[in-house]
Amino acid sequence: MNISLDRLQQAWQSQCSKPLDVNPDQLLNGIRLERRMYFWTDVSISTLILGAGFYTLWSAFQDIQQDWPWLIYVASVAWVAGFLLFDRWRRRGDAAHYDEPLLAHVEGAIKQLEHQKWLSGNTLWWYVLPIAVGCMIPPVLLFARDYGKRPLFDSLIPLLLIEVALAATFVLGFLVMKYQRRSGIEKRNREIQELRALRETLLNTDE
Amino acid sequence: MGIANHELQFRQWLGEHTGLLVKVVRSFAEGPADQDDLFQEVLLQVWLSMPNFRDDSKPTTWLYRVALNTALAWKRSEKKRRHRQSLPSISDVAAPDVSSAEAERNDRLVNQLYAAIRALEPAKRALVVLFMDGFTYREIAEVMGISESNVGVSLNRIKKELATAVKEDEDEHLSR
Repeated sequence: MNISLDRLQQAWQSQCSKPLDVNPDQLLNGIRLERRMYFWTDVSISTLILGAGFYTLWSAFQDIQQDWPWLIYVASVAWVAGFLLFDRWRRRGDAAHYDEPLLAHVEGAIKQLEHQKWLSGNTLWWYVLPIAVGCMIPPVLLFARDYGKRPLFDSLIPLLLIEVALAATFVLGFLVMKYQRRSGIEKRNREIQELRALRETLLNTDE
Repeated sequence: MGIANHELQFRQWLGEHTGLLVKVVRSFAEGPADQDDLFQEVLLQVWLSMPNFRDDSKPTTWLYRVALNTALAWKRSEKKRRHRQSLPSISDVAAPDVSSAEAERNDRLVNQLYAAIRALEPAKRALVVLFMDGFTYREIAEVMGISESNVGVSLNRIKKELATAVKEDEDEHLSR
């Protein structure tokens, strides 16, 4: 039996549905909870970073001549916080909006995912390494400053222990983050692939 | 748009255009649980996107954009099944009319059509939904963000695919 498109359209348009009455508050409960969680996570991390930064800065300024190496740590924390804020500011207009035309939405989503992937792939350079440098260099500089004032082994052994412990912590932390993020990157790669296929279909370039 | 107007508009649109949202949901999700999940996601995105609505576009065109973008994002997302019990389910609004033999036949045809649409690639599904609802090529191009000629070329191919798929199903039904 041959069905014309007109017949299909007629059947399609004959579908009926009941009007819906939804209280937006019901809809928003879930999302409010999610946003509150993100907000408080952001606030906690920022407070921790800023608190640590200000405390170190304050300690360093108590005796700037003596404790200046700790300013390197402050600079590294400021670098990470600054990078986070700058990145958010730079990408503020890139979020894909749901009321855009489909092609624009797909392109926005691809850009967003590629950026997230780039960030995940560069955790070492943007986050781990600056903090590691900021934490590991001041003890060495303090050791160098006090060199000769105390018996060598009294200051060298603690320095080595601190440096080894810090290095191990950062390497381990980096490996854990890398492992956790690998699955995230794989998921994003899949999504990007799907979005690219979608864009190709939209643009008809598969012909 | 103030909060009170925002809510008024939202409720008015849901009163008038729920059918449109149901069509998108049924074209992209199969089975009650997934359909409810997508339906709730669409309602949420409509509400969240409403402050961006400008009067220069028709509510139906705008709602289609939001619903289709949400459906496409939902399709590739792994964060599915966040079904919220307190929210409306698709069975609350999708009401098949089976009051006559003709209506029953339409309903059967529509179910086959949904199955055929869900077998298409996601972008093609969006095109078909708009076409079936009687949108012109220009309007479809506006929703999709592609050229009218592109819409024409794609639809010509899809129409054939669709007619064949539904015809085969119909033949199968008759042979039973």
